[in-house]
Amino acid sequence: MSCARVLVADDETHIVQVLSLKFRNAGLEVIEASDGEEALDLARRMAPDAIVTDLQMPFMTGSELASALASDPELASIPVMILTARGWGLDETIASLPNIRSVESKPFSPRAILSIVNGMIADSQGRKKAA
Amino acid sequence: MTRFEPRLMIMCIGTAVTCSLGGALSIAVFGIDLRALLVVALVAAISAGGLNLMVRVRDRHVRRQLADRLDDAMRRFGDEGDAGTVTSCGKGEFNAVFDGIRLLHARLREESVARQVGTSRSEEVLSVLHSLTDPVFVFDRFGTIRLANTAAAELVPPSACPEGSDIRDVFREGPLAEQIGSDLAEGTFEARAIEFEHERPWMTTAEARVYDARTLHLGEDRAGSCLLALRDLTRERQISRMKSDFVSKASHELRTPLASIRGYLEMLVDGEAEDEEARMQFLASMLDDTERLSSLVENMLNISRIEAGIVRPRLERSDLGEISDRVAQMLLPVASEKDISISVAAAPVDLHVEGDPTMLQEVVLNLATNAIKYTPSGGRVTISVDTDPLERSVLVAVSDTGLGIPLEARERVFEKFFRVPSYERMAQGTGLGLNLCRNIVESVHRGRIGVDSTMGEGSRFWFSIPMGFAGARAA
Repeated sequence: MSCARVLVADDETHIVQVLSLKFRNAGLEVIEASDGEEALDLARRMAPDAIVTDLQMPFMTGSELASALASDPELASIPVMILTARGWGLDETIASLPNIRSVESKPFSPRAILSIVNGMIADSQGRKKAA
Repeated sequence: MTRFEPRLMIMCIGTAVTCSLGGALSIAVFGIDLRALLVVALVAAISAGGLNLMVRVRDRHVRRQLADRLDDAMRRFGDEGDAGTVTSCGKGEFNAVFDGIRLLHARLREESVARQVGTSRSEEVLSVLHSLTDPVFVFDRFGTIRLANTAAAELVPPSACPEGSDIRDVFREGPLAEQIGSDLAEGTFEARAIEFEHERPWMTTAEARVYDARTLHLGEDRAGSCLLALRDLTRERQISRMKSDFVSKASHELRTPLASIRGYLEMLVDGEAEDEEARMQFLASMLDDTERLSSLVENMLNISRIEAGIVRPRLERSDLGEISDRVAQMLLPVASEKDISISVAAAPVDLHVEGDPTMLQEVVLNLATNAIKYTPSGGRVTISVDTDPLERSVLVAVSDTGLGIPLEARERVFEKFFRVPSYERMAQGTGLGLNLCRNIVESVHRGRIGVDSTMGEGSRFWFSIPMGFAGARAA
C-alpha cells in the first residue's frame, strides 16, 4: 500500500492541497493536476493506482477525463473517483463508465475520501494480482 | 281615407236623388211656396245626416281593420297579449291605431338596434379572440375547425388555412392528438387539461413549443362544438430552466470553498498539520475561502436585488476621476505584490456624472481587480477616464497587459458564473463580478459596458455613464 500512487485533479488549489496532504500523511504518493488535460497527460506518464478528480474543470472535465481513460486499454483499469459540487443529476452515461468507482459530493470529509481511495487501490491491486 | 270609395259615391248620389224627388213631390203638392221649400230643406238635412252617419260608420270600420292588422303584425313578434296588443278598450279607435303604429315602430326600432348590437358584440368578441396571444380553436363534432384565432393560425404552416381543416391534421401525434381523436370517436368532450409539445418545422427556430391545452364542450348535446384553448408554457419553462441553472451554478460556487474549509478543519481536528507553520497555512486558506464565500453571497444578493428592481441608488454628482484615483490607491498594495504598475489617466475636464458613487466605485474596483488578477507579473494596468461628447457620457476604461480574452469568451464574460477557461488556472473568482458590473452600469445607471481584447496583448474593459443622467431605475 505504501507505494500506491494517487492522482488528484482539481482546479481549486485548496482542494488539491487538502487531499494531497491527507493522502501523503496516509503514506500514499500523490501527483497533482489542475485540469483534465494535465491529469490525462500525468496518468499516461505516471500510471497512478487511483485517480480522484473534480467533475467541473477547465479544458477537460472530470467526466471527459474518465471517458478518455476508459477508452485507453492501458489506463482503463485505473479506478476513478469523481468529486462534484453539482449535487444530484450526474449524467447517466458518465456514471455508467466502468472505471468510475465512486461519485462524492462537495463538501466532503477527507477521512471518508481516504477510506474509499484505499478501498479502490486495494481492489485494483487485487485484480492485478489475480490477472 | 282620401282614396276613391265607390260605395260612398253611391250613397251621395242616393241622397241627392232622394232630395230631388222630395223637392219635386212637395212642389207638385204644395206648389212653389214656403212649405215646399221647407220640405226640400228637411229632406236635404235628413239626407246630409244620414250621409254623415254612413261616412263615420265607414271610417270606424276601416280603423278597426287597420287595428286588427296591426294586432296581427304585433303577434308575429312573438309576445302576443302583452303590451304589444292593440286594443280599443277605453280609448278612441284613432288613439288605438296611433298607439299601434307607435308600438310597432318602437318594436321595429328595438329589433333593429338589437341586431346592430348583436353584430357589434360579435365583432368585439372576434377582435378579443384574435388579439389573444394564446391559440384558440373551435371545432365541430366531426373535427372540422370552425374558428381559429390569429395565434392558432401560427400552429399550422403559413400555406394552410386552419378554418375548414381537420383539427386532427393540426395535432397529429402526442397526448392532445390522442385525446381529441378519442373524444371525436366517442362524441364526448370533457373539460380537461393536457400538456404537450408542438413542433413547427417551418419556423426558423424549429424548437418545439410547450402548451397546456384545455378542452371545453360548447352546448349541451352531442352536436355542440368543442373549444380548445392553448396556453404557451415555453417561456415559463425557459425561465424555470434558467433559475434551475442559476441555483445549480450558485450551489457549485458555494460548495467549493465550503469543501475546502471543511477539509482544512477536519485536518486540524485530526492533528494532520505537522507544525505551527502548517496550521497557519490551513487557517490562511480557510480565511481566503471564507472571504470568497462572503463575496459570492454578497454579489448574488446585489445582482438579485438589482434584477428584482428593489435597489435604491443614492444618486448624486459623482466624479469618476476621483473614484478611479481612490480605487487605484486601494489596489496599489495588491498590484505591487504582483509587480504590476497601476495608474490613472484622467482627462482635465469635468468628469462628473449623476450616479451612485458606491456602486460606481464597485464597478471600477471589480474591473481593476480582475485586471491585476489576470495580468502576469511585471504587467501594467491603466484606468483612463474621459468624456465622450458624442454620447454625452463619461467613459472609464481599464486596460491591462494580460493574456487577452478569446473572441468566443468575450461575448460571455458578463454572464453569471462564466469563467474564461484559460483564466481559471491563474486565479479564483466568483464568476459574478462582471455580471454585477453590467447590472450596475446598464440597469441602475442606463449606461453601457463592454470589452475589447487582443490575444497576447491584453484586454480593455470599459463602461460609460450618461452625464446628465436623471432617471436611474429605483424601486
